[in-house]
Amino acid sequence: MFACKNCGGNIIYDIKSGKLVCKHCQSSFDPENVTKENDSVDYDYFETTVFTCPQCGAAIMCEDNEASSFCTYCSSSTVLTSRISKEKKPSYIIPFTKTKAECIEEYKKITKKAIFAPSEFRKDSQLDKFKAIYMPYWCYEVTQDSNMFDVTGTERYDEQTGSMSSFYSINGMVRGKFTGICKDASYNFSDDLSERIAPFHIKEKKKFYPSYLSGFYADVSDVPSKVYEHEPIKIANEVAREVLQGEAARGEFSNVKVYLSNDQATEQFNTTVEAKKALFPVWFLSFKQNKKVAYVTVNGQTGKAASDLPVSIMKYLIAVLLATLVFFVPSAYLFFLFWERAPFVFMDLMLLLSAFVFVLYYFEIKRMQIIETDSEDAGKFYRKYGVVYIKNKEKHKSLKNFYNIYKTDIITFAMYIVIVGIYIWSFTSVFGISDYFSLITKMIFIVGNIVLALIGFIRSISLKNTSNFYGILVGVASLVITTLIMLLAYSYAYAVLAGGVFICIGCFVTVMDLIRYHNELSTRKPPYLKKRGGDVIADSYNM
Amino acid sequence: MPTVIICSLFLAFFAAFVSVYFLAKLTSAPSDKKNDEEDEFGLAGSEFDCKFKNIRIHSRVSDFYIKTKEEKNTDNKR
Ligand SMILES: [Zn+2]
Ligand SMILES: [Zn+2]
Repeated sequence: MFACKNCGGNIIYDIKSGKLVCKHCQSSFDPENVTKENDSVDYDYFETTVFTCPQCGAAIMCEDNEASSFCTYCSSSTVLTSRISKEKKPSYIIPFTKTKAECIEEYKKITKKAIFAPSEFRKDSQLDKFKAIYMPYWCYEVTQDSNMFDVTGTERYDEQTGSMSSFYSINGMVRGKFTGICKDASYNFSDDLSERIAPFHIKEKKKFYPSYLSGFYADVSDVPSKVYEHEPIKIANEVAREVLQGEAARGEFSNVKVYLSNDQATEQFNTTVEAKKALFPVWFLSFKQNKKVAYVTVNGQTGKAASDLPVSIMKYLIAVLLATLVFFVPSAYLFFLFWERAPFVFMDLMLLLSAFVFVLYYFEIKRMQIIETDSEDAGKFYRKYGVVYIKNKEKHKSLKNFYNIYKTDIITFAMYIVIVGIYIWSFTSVFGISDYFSLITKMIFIVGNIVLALIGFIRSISLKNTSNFYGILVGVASLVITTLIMLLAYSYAYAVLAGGVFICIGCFVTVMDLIRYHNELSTRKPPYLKKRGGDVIADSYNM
Repeated sequence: MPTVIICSLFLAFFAAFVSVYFLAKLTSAPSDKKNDEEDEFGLAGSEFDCKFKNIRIHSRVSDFYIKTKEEKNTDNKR
């Protein structure tokens, strides 16, 4: 606790004024001038209270004892254990500039359209639980310093007979300095969230004084700086190469291109990196979702918000019910047109639609697989395996270019053919032609559907989080049942009707799986204790 | 008559759960990460200064047709 020099009351950092303000006598102080009695002795460390959550193991520091009843990381009310601790001082801090009211405003902006999010995501009483947390970040300072580099420049002309290339030796000296390439250093704060609320503007950094933390929380978990070191080096090397290319390609050498690998650049430009610890402001809120948590974060400097948005199953079902009522009228109209043959037309339509659902399933799983890989946290990965995790940026790009995913594989191509086939066939059926094709064509397409469903299932078992999701198997089972029905009684209207209903239910369960998987991806396991099966606490502490 | 009702109901149901699925996915998409077009190098928020001086370019070899790396290497040894 930081005491007021005038009255001894508790002084707390005020976001609007940027000063420490006393609630009792309204006096205000600059953070640089406020110290605790025993604080000034040590320049590298400062004393604070660290609270540890017995539920999830997350540790957070705070001057305020109110912190001791609720854990923000696992969203549970529990008595946190506290201890006095000496913590290493970070080099700098970016103080909060967005107040809680502003942060809630920003959060509401991004969730305005999220009508399927659980209703607690919009409750004002919940939003009041936003906590101001200083997150530890590594700020990398990259230096390039070489008086005599030697890199290769290439000039290439394409001619009819072949391509002609000239090679040049490019020498010179380089002085480069990069500051403020930052990566979050908390195990609790995952990379995907921190990337979504990036950037923080390093210009506004302040020298760290412990008094900045008065009235705030600060995360203490500590990912080693080398986990992200390769990223700032790579960025600096790429920028330097680009600059050199611009400088070199002039006059008679205007076509010269500089190609440099990251390692070559590091060697030639003498690229070195140094990491400085900093604290960045983040507004943080968590929601319990089954056994997991959903996080909401807002950048405390810029107000950029990012939220996990699970879909409320209840809301989904209600919306389906309403939409069913709406669609009932046109669909009833359709079947009155085919009064006599309604069940058979129904079966045809179900087969057509189910093919669509299984193809959709396949693509959605594939897309979510990329999101899953992308949301891997380099800090957690390092703690688990002791190896630096290097993200595959190309995969990220392919996610952005949505259609690339579809182009690539053979299965996709095969599926297109099946779909087109089903289309043609189903139209002939609707217009009463397919009666002549009889059972055999129908069987072929049912089997086609089963193949599609199985392909989707095979795709899904390669996912990490879907081990409990077998909805698509219900889809397969419903198709198999329908196959049997068709074989035994394909001319009986009621049997065909039942088959169509089975397919419909199978597809519904399959789509429900997709929603559950979406929810799985938009929630997180609480920081330390990953509950998977029986092994609860033991192995996560050894991790 | 009941068959027609059942058919209509399940068709409507099918259309409903698929379209509501799309609606739910669209409205629950996570917010975008920082825009890569604006920030090609991932430098947003940071400061940098990268200067080159005394750049000299000289030809390593006389121009020639090149197809393989070996040619370049042999040239370096020369
Ligand atoms: Zn006072
Ligand atoms: Zn906890």
